[in-house]
Amino acid sequence: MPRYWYEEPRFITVSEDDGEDEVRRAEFNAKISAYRKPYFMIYVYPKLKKDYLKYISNVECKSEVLFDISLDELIQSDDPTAIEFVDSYLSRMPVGRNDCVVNRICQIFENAFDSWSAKSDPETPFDYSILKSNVEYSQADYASIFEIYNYYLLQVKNFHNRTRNERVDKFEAFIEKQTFVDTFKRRCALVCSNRYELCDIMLDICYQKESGKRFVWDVCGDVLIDNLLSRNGYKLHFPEVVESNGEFEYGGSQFKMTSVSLSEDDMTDE
Amino acid sequence: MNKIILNEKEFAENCLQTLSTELDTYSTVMILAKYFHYRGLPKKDIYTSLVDFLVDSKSIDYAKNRQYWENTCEWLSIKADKYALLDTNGVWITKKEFNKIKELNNKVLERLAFTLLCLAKYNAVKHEGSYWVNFEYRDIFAMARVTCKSSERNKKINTLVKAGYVIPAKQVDNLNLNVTFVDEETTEYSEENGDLFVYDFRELGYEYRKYSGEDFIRCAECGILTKGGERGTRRYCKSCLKYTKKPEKKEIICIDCGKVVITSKHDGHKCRCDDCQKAANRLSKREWIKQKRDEIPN
Repeated sequence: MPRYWYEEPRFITVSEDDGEDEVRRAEFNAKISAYRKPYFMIYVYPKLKKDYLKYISNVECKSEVLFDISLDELIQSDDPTAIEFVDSYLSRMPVGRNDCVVNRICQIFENAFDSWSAKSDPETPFDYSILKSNVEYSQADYASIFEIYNYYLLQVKNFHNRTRNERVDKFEAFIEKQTFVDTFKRRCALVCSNRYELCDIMLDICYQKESGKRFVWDVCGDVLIDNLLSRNGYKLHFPEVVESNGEFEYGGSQFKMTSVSLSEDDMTDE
Repeated sequence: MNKIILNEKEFAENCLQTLSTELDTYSTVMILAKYFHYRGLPKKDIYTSLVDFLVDSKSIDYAKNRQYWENTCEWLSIKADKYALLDTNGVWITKKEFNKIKELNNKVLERLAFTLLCLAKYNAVKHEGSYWVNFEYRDIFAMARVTCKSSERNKKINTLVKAGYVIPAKQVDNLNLNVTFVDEETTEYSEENGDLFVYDFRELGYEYRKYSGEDFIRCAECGILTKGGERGTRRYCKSCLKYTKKPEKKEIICIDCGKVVITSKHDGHKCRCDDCQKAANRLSKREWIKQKRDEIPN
């Protein structure tokens, strides 16, 4: 990619020997240079979002240190030093805040989700005993699996940090995740070969505290489904797509709840 | 925040001897790279020495991500000659600077100004003539022992800016501060003249308060400044005080009533609480008397 496509305008210079054409070309390049990404890209590049938020935080701090007023008040101010500060703030911003179409769409979404919170505290805690196999296990096995669980949490944290900061391809991330889930499955199986005991141990580790439950579902997901089905008489209820007269609609398609009875033989063993 | 190391040469030698560090892995490796360069090692040997240190010290960070740390060591070995190894024991604060600080007439701002001055002089040791402070504001306030909301920190710094003690950087997102009231004229320092030699940057706020005449002592164990006791007999800080406490106690469960009893660590016989022990003693004595009575022939 030619450098003048993405170079900052202040670095696009002309020498004394250059002719009029060169000067005009340099001025034109400075006007259209894409030296920074548009604002909506903060939702595509995690590092860019981090840089942007850090920049805003620092400028707000600097505004209070220099002028003793917030950045929003400074933008409204008519003081020449304040205007110079605001100009510098806008020119040095790591993202472009012009009113392009996607930036405006991004703004609409941000305003709509401004007061929305992803977390909701349930009134009654989830009774995880419906997932259990109700099999007794030894404390020694519990302690060993707990150690593996702590190591798993560390690995998952490192994995998420890496995929967030380095923007790893989704398919690659999926393959990598599957690889270390398989590794943990094998490690847990070495400690406790009985998968029903293993399932109960993991449920007690994960569901007794406010910690991640992903570990249980990754390693013993099939046993959990088996337990739920056995409690429900091996009947499976699921929404089936229908052309018309559905019970409910979602994503433009009509759905109808259907039941299927499965026998124990239908549940395949690993 | 990482501990401020004044004498990096001594720190590096200590790290290599004990194979342990008080700082985070990156800062330690950076100081070691500078130390190896100071010792005259070529860049390839600096890289191998750094990796050997990480392996020998059983660094957890290195074990988690070897590739990253090997790349980091390689990069640091190339850049090792860029910055000089710090070899100082402390910084002098002159009487003139103290007088300038006192003009603020506000204890909190005085501590803050003193902390900024010490940090500026520390930076000047690394980069001669440069009295910039590039620490995070929360770290500066923590060292100065000034507690306030994060929104009030900026106001306090603004007060110092208006008074002319510090000048902020020109760039809009750069929060560094340039300290302006450094005394560059004085060249000979002496504690008799009212100058202060600061060699411990852990509690700069307390250093200033101690200089101002308040009651502060140095912990006999770790050397950190701490508030003196009312009776004036305190010798240790709160963290070191644990090691000089009375012998440890242990908890036992009474075998009769199940009550939790606290006893000395060295007591191997006690198995009941006091009440149950009295009752057991009474019963034992009764049994003994009965036994003796049965032995006496009629």
